Amino acid sequence: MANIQWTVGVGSDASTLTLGSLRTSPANRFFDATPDYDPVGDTEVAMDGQIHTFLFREDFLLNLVLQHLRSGQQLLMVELKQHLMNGGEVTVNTEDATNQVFTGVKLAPGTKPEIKKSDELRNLYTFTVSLMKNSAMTVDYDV
Amino acid sequence: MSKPPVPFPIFESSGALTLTSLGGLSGKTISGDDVIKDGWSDIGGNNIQLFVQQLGTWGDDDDPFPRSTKVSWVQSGLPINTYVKVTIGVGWNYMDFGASGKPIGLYVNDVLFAPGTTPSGTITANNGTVVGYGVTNSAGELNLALGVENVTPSLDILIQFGGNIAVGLSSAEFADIITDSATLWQRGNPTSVTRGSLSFEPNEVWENFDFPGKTMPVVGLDECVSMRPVIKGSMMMTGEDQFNMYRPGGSWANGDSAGGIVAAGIRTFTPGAFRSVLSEGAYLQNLIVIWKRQRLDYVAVEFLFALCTHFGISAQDGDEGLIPVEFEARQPNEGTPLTSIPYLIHILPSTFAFAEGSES
Repeated sequence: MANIQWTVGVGSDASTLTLGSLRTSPANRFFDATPDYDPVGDTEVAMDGQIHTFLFREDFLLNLVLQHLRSGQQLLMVELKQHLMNGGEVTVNTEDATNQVFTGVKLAPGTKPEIKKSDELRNLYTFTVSLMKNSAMTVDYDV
Repeated sequence: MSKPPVPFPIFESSGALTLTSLGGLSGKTISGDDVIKDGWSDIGGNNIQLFVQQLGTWGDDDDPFPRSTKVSWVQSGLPINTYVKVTIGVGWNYMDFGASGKPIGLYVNDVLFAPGTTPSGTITANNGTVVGYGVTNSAGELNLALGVENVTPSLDILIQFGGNIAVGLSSAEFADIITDSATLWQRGNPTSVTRGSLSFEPNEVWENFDFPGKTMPVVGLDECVSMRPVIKGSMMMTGEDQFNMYRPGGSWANGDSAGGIVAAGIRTFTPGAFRSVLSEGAYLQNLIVIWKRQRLDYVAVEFLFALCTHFGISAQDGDEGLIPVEFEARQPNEGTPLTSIPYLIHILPSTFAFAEGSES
């Protein structure tokens, strides 16, 4: 299933937590999965329009929306937000066409995960997050 | 009603049943992922149990991938190439955390059928059955399995599968056909004389989950998300009690005048005030509509609570007047809208206490 996993604690106290839609696959796929790229550094544009950059870092982004989360997953949503906003790394299991798994993924700088109640009658929530890695992350559900 | 000549495209059977012991784990194959597959055990009485509790990780194995397991066997000695029904008892205690909402139950020829009960959440199991359907092969065999899919830690699963397995022919008998119009009872009493039949419509709304890349509705992704069960028909009685049923929340009293004429002996119904919530006692309770079947027993639909949301009065020259009515089901107000009963369908024996209250 498509989900985000992270580890809390260390050694024998370590445990892995998972946040993802509990709906049966493929209905638990990530929504709005969109890659992006954000260079970090100095950029100047010459008179001829040529862009010159001095890169400090390259952020490869993946924007995700976890939809249809259940009321009973609220604590996990808060814990994932806490983990990411304190610099924690996560693993993204895409369950896409090639079952891509991205490890060592962090929160995109300058962003905040958003927890939102999306359906009052059905008690469903969404978790929107922008993630970052030092290589491109794409999700291919075209299968 | 006489039966049509054969051949006729309805399979008719008295439901011949093969009842055998589930036999515990003997002769069965346990498969699946490490750790979780160790949760199967014989617990006596030919029962099989799956009991798995994992906190945080899969024990010493830190790989957090979702895990599945099955107990499989081939059920033989059945009619060849026949569509059959398989019933196994279930006692279900827990299905929590990373197991919550995951697929579990009986596989018939690799098609999963969910238990007809829910986890109790306590040490006292909810008892029920899991029923599946499938076609036997040319050797009279059926591939059966019990299992669970795609659970992640932390998790807590405790489920028992019953000591016997019943394999019966899927029943479809002509005697099940409804042969008469219906009557309507409330709390064991006929409500009013009806004319014509009463109809029941659950008006259920099914949602097939959307997902990126979806092209059309997909098997296994449907949920019933809402419903508005109704019973519609026409009544004939116009007594005070019937009007209290047609229009709840009103009251009857002696009146002084009607149509501007002062007279004695007038009884007047006044609807309740606007925007005043109905008390629980104003609802119809155990409202049941009953249809007679060819074998002289009955099929019935019951609303534990109901409200008459539409009524009217109509008549025409030289004929009896009709009160068109529509009753909507209401859930018991238990604070559990996901599980509180919306409606029930009963099959009642021919000996069921039944008073003719309809005019067909």
